[in-house]
Amino acid sequence: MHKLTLSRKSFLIFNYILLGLTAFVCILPLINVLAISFSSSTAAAAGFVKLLPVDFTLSSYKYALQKHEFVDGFFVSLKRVGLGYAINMLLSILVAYPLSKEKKALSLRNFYAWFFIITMLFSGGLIPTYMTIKSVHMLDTIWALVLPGAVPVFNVILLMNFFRGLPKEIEEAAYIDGAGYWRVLWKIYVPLSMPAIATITLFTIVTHWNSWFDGLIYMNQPIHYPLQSYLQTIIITTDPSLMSSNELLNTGDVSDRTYKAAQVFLAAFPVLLVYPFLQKYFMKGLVMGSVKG
Amino acid sequence: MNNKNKVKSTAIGVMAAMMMLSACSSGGSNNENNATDKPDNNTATAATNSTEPAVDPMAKYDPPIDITAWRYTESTYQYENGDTIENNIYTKAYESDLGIKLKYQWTVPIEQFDQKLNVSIASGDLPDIMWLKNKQLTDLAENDMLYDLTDLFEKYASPITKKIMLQDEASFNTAKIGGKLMAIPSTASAVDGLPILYLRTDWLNKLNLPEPKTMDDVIKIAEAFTKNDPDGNGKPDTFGLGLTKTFMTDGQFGGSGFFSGYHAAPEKWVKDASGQLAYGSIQPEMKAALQQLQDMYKQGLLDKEFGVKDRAKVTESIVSGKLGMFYGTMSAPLSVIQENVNSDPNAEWKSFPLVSFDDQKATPIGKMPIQRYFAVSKDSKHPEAIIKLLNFSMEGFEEDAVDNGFGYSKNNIPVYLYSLISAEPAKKNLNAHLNAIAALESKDPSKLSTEEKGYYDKIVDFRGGNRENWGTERVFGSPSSFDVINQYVNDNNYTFDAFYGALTPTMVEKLSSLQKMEEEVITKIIMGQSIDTFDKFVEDWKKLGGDQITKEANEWAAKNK
Amino acid sequence: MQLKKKLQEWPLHLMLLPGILLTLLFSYVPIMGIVIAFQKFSPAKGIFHSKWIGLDNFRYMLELPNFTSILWNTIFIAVLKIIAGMIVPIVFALLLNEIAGAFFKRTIQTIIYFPYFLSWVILGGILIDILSPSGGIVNQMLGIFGIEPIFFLGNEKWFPYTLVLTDTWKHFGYGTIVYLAALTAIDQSLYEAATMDGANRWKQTLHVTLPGMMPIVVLMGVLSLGNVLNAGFEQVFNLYSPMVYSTGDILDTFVYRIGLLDAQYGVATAVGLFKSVISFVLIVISNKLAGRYAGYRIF
Repeated sequence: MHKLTLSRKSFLIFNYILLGLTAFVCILPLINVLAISFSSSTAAAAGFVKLLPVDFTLSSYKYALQKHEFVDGFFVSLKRVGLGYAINMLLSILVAYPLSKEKKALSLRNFYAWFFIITMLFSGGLIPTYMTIKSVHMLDTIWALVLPGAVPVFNVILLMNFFRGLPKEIEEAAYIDGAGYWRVLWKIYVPLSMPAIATITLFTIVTHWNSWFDGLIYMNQPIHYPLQSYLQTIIITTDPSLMSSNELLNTGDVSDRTYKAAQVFLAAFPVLLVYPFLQKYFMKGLVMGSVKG
Repeated sequence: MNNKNKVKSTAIGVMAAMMMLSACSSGGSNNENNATDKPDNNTATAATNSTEPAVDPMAKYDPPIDITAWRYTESTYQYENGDTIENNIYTKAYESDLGIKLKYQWTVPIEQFDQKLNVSIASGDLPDIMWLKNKQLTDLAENDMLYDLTDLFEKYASPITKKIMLQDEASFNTAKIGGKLMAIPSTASAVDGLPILYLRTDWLNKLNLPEPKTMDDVIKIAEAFTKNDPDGNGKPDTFGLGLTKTFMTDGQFGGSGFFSGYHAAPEKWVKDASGQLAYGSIQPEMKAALQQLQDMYKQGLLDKEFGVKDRAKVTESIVSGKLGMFYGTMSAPLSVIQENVNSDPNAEWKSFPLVSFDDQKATPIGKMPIQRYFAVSKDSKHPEAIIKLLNFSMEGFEEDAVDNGFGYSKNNIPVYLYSLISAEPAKKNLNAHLNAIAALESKDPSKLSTEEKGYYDKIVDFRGGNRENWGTERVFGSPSSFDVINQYVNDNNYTFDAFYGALTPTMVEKLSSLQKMEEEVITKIIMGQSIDTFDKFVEDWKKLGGDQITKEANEWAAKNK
Repeated sequence: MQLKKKLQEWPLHLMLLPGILLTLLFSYVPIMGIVIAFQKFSPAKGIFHSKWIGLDNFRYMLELPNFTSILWNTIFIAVLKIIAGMIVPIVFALLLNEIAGAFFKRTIQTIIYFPYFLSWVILGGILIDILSPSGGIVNQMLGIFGIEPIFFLGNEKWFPYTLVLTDTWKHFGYGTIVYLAALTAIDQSLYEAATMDGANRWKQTLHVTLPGMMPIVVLMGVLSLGNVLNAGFEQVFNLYSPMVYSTGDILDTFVYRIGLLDAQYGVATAVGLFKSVISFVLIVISNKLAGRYAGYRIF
């Protein structure tokens, strides 16, 4: 080990403090939500809850986990993430690889590239998309949530650039050994790109888990809503001018703030766990190490 | 010209492409669809034109018929025993009593209703019965896609249905387009939306202040609540009057009640001296009210940050005991004050009628209460079914009706919300209050409906010492918000927004810009900008389309006299 | 070379085929719906029967009394967000890279990624408290340094910066991920070589790490230009108020408000198309420029 110079030392101390403080500022709101979820409804409604629960209670969690909409939504979301992830990942790899080739190897390469990029910028809007999904009879099915975004162009571009950064020598050696494009892709490119694949894995899972609007529009029955679509219906406070007087009487609109907090937290929790799990793929030197080996 | 044709032919190309692709992929993917069975569009209209001679409004369909529909739901709906919106006491009764199998093409939370409604309409395929809002009702009716219900209503509506629906004819007529009844309006209690003044009376007593009779009193109270430390914690952390950042239109913590004290009616249409419609926000009466609010803001009687706070945030001020006065609607004791009463054993609130700054009465102003319409597709095979469903819902309002559990379940879950077609008598909640009071006096709840009995029980419980039911007492019991509404009604001292038609073309085009300007100017004046900017605002408003809007509103009024 | 020739193109086309078919169906077919921008669209008439009105929707948009201010707000907020949203994650990725302890590093990484998962609806309520001029923690801190309380959410001057700051805070942790992935791709032997040459950590960062990250930085930069008219609807909608309309109203909130009164899909689509065209042009140009000056074309 080298001896640390003074400037290096002071930089490191500064660095630790800065990162620690930043992390502290980032975790505060989550703690606040968590504290509210464990507090009594009155304390929450009064805005007394800051970072520690007031009048600790678990009732919001009991309530949330008993709600069948919550539990149903959770499983729809799991299904969506599973299916959506498989489709997105497969198509991202299959599209990114040919696009990472030079024009010599794939004559229509630039055409293909812009074909995909345009879809990232232009969209027909809600009504035409809805009509298309309806015309292929996918309304109210899980396919309406996973197929329209089957090719995540941003992820494709990311992966494509990563592929292009891989050393050409290994690939050429493989061709000499008689391997074709398919084998090179699965045996060399994919294993060498684990950091990039881990990144887009995270992006894909997070995107699918967090999407809520498509669920509300393309699903016809509430039992088919993913979790975030259902949550959206409870977090947004309904514009009271939309409600009739009787519906107003049935609204205890402040007392459920703790329930909301509990459900928000429960819904975010699984996806918060994904990142730490994927972090091992972000190890330095992984790529080159395996190339050399 | 040429360009237009080009675009059109592209459109046809698109359509062809769409059909081709849809054919391909629907062949390719074998997912079960047919969740919704589409009505057979070809034969529909012809079939319905044959008129049967004798009509029994409640005759059961035998064999049962299928009726498709769409609707919204709200997060406040509660279910028990595995009920869902698709399967509950109402859907079961529709089938067993009327022979109507109700099938929802979709249901959607109210927040996304507009979007879902528009995409569904745009992609065709209307169900038999549709929940609609005013603008889609107009759009569909103008394109001849709705069934004219004028004759069917005459023929099939039961006497009680007709009685209730026509109680408030102006409301009912909003469903008529070109003189034809194109939908059933979901009538409701119009007086329920009138603004009321709410005050913390324990603070009032503590500071030895009289109950408010005039606007002057209100301002004195606001001042005392701000400066005389009503909560006794020695800190200047309370303020006088609660407003939200959208107080111009909000019911709870709104400004309407305050402005009425100056005979002003922002964001509403009023009749001027000559009987013409005029926009309330630009009338000279606004100035005195704004000047007063500006003074109050300067003195700290309003929350310095009211301009960023929404309803939940102002509610926080109430519950935490920072705020003791606001204008709200009749439901405020239940929806916003109850938590304050729960957390502070000394807290007590009372509702008061609006007060005025001069010797003229302050007149509360409300809005036409119709939030939704029930319409029938032109292609429906059984267009009369909607009237039967309506009759079914109205049966419960008969004098001698027996309670069959269609209002509230035994556990007091409001199941009436599941009903596909519903409408309310004009003063339903007010009557519930009057009945509950009468029953409390005579100690005889036997004549009450389940709903009313529910309120009665809670009031009795509150009077027995349970402050959890304070809110019900203060809405339906006495003294209560309905005492105040009742006073408005008895004095015949209330009015409604005079314009309640579909938006006129210029409104569609300009209103959003005008409203933005209005909210901005008024908020800034309150926060200290010179009151003279109001005059410039009035001028600008007129110039930027307001005059044209006023003209169109009056044309509408002339047509709908 | 000979061997290369033998590799035929068709497997590459085949790989692209499923993606192309799905994109055709779910993106290109609906894209034709852009024709709505040239219609007086009514849901009841649908796409095929609504009235054609040429460029009227665009004219309506451009002739709005405050269009220039809305457009300016949008660009101003969006551009600041793009800049902050690039620099901050890069800096944090580099700082994290200097941390030796794996546990500390991973913990920090995970924590700074949390705010991304709280929606603006929830954060809106929290921010009103934190940023309150009377008793909000931020103003209390500033008070220590003798700074007068600032009404961040209610002051026209401060509001756009408040938006940029809170948006950056919410997203930078998530944004860091991509750069951390890029760091893993840097050849470790380059660092070893640099150490041999006597370069200290700072020099290594400058001459090895940064150039190694460059492709991804250019890539993210070019792509983010596509957002030059996206100032962030959810955020603005949940935080703005009439007090700050003059600096906080953006294209998307404007479209939302006209939609509330009357679903004007024609105008909304026209605004959308306007945004798309500008993004497209910017991306094409910047891709070319990146190719010419950074020697790295993205697409």
